[in-house]
Amino acid sequence: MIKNIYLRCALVLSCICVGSAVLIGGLHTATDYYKETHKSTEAPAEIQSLKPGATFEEVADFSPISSTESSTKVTITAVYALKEGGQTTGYAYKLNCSKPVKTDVEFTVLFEGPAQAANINAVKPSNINIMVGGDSGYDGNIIKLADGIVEGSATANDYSSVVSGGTKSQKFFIDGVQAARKDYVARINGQTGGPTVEKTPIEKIYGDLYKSNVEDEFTAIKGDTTHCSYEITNRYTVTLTDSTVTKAYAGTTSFQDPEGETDVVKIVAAFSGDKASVKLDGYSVTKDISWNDYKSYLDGVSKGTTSLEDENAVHTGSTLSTNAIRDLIIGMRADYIANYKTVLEEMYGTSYVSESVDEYAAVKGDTSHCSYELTKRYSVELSDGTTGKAYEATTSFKDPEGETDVIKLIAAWSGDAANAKLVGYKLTKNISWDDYKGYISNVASGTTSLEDESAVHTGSTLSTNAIRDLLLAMRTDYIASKNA
Amino acid sequence: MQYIVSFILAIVSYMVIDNVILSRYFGICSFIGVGNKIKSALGMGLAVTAVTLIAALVCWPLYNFILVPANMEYMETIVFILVIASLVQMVGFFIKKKSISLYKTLGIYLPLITTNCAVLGVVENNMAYDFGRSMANALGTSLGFILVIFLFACIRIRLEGSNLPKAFKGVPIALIVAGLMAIVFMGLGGIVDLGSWGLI
Amino acid sequence: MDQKPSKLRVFLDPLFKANPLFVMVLGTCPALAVTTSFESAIGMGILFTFVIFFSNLIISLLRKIIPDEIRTPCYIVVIATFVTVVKLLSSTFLPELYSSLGVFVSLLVVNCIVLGRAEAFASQNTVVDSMLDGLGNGVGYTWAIAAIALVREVLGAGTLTFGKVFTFIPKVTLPILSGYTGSDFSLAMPLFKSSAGGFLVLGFALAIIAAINNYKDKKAKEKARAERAAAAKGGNN
Repeated sequence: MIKNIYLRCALVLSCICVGSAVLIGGLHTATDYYKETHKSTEAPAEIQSLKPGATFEEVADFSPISSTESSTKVTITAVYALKEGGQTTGYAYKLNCSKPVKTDVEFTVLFEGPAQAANINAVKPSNINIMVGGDSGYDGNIIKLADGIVEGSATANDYSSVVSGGTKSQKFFIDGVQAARKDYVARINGQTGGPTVEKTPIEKIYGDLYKSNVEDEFTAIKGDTTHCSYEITNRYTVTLTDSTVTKAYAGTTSFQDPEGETDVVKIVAAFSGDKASVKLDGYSVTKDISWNDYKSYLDGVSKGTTSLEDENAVHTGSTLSTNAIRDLIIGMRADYIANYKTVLEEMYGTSYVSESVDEYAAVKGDTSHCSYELTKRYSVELSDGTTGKAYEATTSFKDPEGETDVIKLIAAWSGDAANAKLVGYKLTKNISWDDYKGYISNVASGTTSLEDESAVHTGSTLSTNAIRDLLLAMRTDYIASKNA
Repeated sequence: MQYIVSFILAIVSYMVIDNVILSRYFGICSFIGVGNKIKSALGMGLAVTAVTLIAALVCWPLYNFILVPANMEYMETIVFILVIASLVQMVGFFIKKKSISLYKTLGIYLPLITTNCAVLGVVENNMAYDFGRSMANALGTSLGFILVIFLFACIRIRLEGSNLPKAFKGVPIALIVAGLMAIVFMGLGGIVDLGSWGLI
Repeated sequence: MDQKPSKLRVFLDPLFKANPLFVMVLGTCPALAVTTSFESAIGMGILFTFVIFFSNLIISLLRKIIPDEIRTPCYIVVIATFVTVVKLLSSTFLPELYSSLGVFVSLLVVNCIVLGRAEAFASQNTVVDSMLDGLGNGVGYTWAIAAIALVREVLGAGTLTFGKVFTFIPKVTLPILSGYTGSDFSLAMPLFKSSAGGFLVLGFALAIIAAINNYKDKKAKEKARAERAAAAKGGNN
């Protein structure tokens, strides 16, 4: 045929390639078409078998979420809604429970019917399917446990139904059921349109709306006592929704248990209040141990019924752990007190020496822009011998809709009568249009003068005028106090 | 820093813990056939390493930047194997030029690298990974391959002189030795948990 | 070159005498990887038979056209084509099998057996012979890995599970060394599920076959010696 060898090679090879491409391309199109027309209306087998014949619809926009339950990492990989007559009557979950370097437990679980968070321990799954059963050879025990939970003869509320033989995997499994149950209770009541978000420890203490920043300059504090060795690893500045600022600490304490093993507990604890009356607002355990009676001790401390100083209160039944926790909390509290700054201390900075509340009759006033009140006045001793004054004040004015807006703040002043200076301010009640903040900052830094009426036009002229009048009133009072 | 450490850990993991021959079952034909000559074993290991690394380097972008955007993922098998086959030819030319003796020692094994499951297996696995991890996979796999081939050649030298039942001589005892090596390597499982480094 | 073997011989040889796994020791990678489950092994065997059958067919068809210099790349392209075909078909119709075999379906393209038969047989024989050879090797390989899988699954998991991969079969778990799921009775040895177990089982299988062959050889030698002795005796008489 064709004589030239190179040509022949190229021709043959390209023919084969073309033939191959045609065959595969054609087949690919055909299989795609087949897949489209034969899309199964059934959910994957492991979900469908939870309730054969029922309709399961995969929840869209669900991306796998992990949470830590009693130190097992539980990942909900898929959620399907059980639909009956168009209504969602339950949810099925596919879960994976594991710790690194241990065999996983994978299962699907179906919850049906109404459920309430308050009653979460009574929520029972209607069916469970174990796909991967954990420690090989012991998967029988997980299956028995699952059957028991569905029947009602075993409980998923704690580890009491765990039998020996693969206990770790059984515990993982129970953690998984609890995680699914939590999500179900939220989801069936319409509370989660999307995936459940795991709350951080500080969120668990204070609730949803807040802000917390870890303090980078904090260096870990270690301590050793007769009961334990502890380490305070992080300090956080927590700002609550009402603008109060508190501190939270993350710490670890380790101690020897009666068997000689080292137990480790990690907690996050939040403190508030001034130096004389520090309050434990709450705590969140990030790494727990099985004997956790120390929790009732901490509950008492945060409620105020138990005092940290009382050594007898420690005898809760797990004295070792409670003592270890107590030492850690006392260490945290000591740091809190050492670093505690009052609001005024923060404002005046290093020149702050001390403060006291003045005998002061509230000063009220009305201007064309607002009504204000100087509610409280503090005298602040400064390091250069002078005395500054700080005011708690309120100003209220009508917004364009006719509603009354109120702004509350604390403002600090220093300097003599001729050079009264606004040192700083802190808002305790804010409004949404807060361009006036830029105005106050400029006044404090000196770039804007209170005298200058045109500087008021920040974009929220109403509020800025109200603030200006307030500041003018404060300044008048301050100068008067200096001259008195 | 974290990235470098996790890269090194990934290499170690793919090299030793999830060893290409003893744990992932790739490259067994070449492994059994390598015999007891250490020099040829090492030479083969190096050739496989070269091919694996270059193949991984070339195929990953090929897959992710050409096949995927064109929705032609199903062509991956053909594309990869052609790349590997041509790479083997090129490596063969290179070795022939540089060292005729090595070329002769490798003999039939050189073209057999094309059919070495390890190379194609690594390239196929890499489709699911990001670039860093795929290179760690390629490096770890090659190093693991060399390690096991070398150990195996050393063991086989000892096997030569031993008194085996006739039925076991040759391939059967080689496989049983491989099984014992696999048990040893199993013990290393769990040393590095890629999951806790966020690599999984 | 000895006479061309009959068609039947072409088909039967790879089943036992020239079994690709047990005698030629080729295609060992999948033989160790997919043999943890009897069903998966059979599935792999079926896919393998498909690939080798069609690749032998096409290569034999084209054997006179393919120039010798580029025969390896050509064979590879043909084989890769059919492997891709098999991947597409199995991912559509048998998705559980496809996902359980994983990367080893793609690795069929570098399976020594397929390339080896293409090179050694299909390139030199007629289309019908090549088809029979492909079928024979396919069936031979299938039963070989199925046997290994049987041993590994029974010893390793204690049970034989059907219906997990071929979903049109009802799911049945036969308890052999182990009780039904959920029971505590189990004589299973998980070692066989691991890679080490695979090596050991294959090693022992090959040793057993070698022993059988040695025995047969010995018997044949003895028979030949006896015949020679008898002939010598007869000659002397």
